[in-house]
Amino acid sequence: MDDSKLIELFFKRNEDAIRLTHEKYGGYCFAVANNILANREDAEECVNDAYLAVWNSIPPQRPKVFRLFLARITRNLSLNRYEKRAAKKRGGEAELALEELAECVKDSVSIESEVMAKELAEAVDGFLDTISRRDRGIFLYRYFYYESAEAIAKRFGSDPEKIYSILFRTRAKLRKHLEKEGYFNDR
Amino acid sequence: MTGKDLSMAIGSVSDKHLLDAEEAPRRSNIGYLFASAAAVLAIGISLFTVIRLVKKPHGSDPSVYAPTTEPTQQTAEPLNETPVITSLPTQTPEATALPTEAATEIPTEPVNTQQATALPTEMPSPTPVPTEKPTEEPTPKATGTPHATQKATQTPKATGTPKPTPAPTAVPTQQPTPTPTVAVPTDEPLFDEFSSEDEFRTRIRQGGEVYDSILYYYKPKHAPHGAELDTITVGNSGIGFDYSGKDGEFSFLWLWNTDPDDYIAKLLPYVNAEQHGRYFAYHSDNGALCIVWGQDGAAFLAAVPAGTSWDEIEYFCSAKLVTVN
Repeated sequence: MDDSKLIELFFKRNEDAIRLTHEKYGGYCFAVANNILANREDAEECVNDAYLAVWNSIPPQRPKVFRLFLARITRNLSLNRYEKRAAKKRGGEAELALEELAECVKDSVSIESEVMAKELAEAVDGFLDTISRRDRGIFLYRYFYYESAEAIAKRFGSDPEKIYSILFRTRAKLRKHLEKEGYFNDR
Repeated sequence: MTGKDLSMAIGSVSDKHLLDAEEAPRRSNIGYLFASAAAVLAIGISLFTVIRLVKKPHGSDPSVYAPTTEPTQQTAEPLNETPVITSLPTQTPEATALPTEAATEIPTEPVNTQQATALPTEMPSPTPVPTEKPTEEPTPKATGTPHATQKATQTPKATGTPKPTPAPTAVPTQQPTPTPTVAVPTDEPLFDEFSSEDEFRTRIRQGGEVYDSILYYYKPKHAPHGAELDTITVGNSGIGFDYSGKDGEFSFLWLWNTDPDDYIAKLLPYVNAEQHGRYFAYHSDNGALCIVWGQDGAAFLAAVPAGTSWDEIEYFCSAKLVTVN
């Protein structure tokens, strides 16, 4: 079914919308969640939570790209669930990726409000405009979809070492960009 | 700010970037294909050049190998008199000790100054399309499909769905008179088989139907010396040419898009290209410098020895295709 028709079903509060969304994007959402949680049960629960969140969001929202809208919600719910896990139950790619990001913003100012979070998102979005398509793709597969370097290397026909190297350089560039945007205390 | 904060910010990036990211691997793989094809071409040409150097007695025709010191002064000369502008490695002393048979063999071959360059600059008179082209069971290695969907881990020769080579139709007995509508300030028209670049592009986009014309057009210009064109594969984003000859096998990809300049500009960052004016260059694994440039709706590829200066490249590429406004 076409995405626009799916969205219309949500607007009409037709419960078939969720079933059809699951049929079309269930696997995709599960992959997004499972990349982060690395646990089948948790990932499935997250996907179900995501459907509910979508149900509550549409209307009023009308996403332009429904698939990405779903991915965003699934991803963020999965990250929240990941954070709530006991430390010993964490691990997987999410742990590594989050450590990499934490290192990238070490000694930065704290984000204390929704407004600041939104501004940070805009700064990151602006940063992505400044790097090459390939580097952007690699960066987002890593830090949006939480894919492993091996999986990304396979996508790009490269090797994991090179992917790590590109990610390292991109994080360094991101840090510089955020420094310019004032996200680090003057030293 | 924590890693989670940053991660949530990344989670809010625009759809545009996410969609672009999904396209990135495909684009990257095209770049790899392009680089692979260029590397294969460069390796072949370098090998050929080395063979020529070894076979050539030292000092028999210094003009063939001498680097051009003032390339810009020669741009107005006809192509078939264009001296070689690229600096080749210093000839080894061994070259003087070659058997005399080798020295006597050389003069029997027409000395073509173009052969010492990376690509032949001379446009030989059109040759008839080979009529004995294989019409069935093309071997996979001979077909490089310049499709975007090919995996980057594959080499152009080893991948791509072998496309059955259509039997060439009869060679047109009457060749259209070269009447280029674009200003071409040399003796070598850019689109000599067609009345205009537009016609060329229109026809070439029709794919296999213009098979003979493509072959006819490209073989003399881009085939390594002495190589026979085995197959042409027309894809959505370009044409793959596969050659074989006494010096080995070569592939050449000619890519197009609605805006080749833009296409090249987007493509080459993935092969660590360096831009200089309208040229993009990158070093292949064997040390040759591959040059790519777009012009008038087409994309072109050349290879020159590493260490070639930008002035020489400018001259080299201008001499090949001209129409520099």
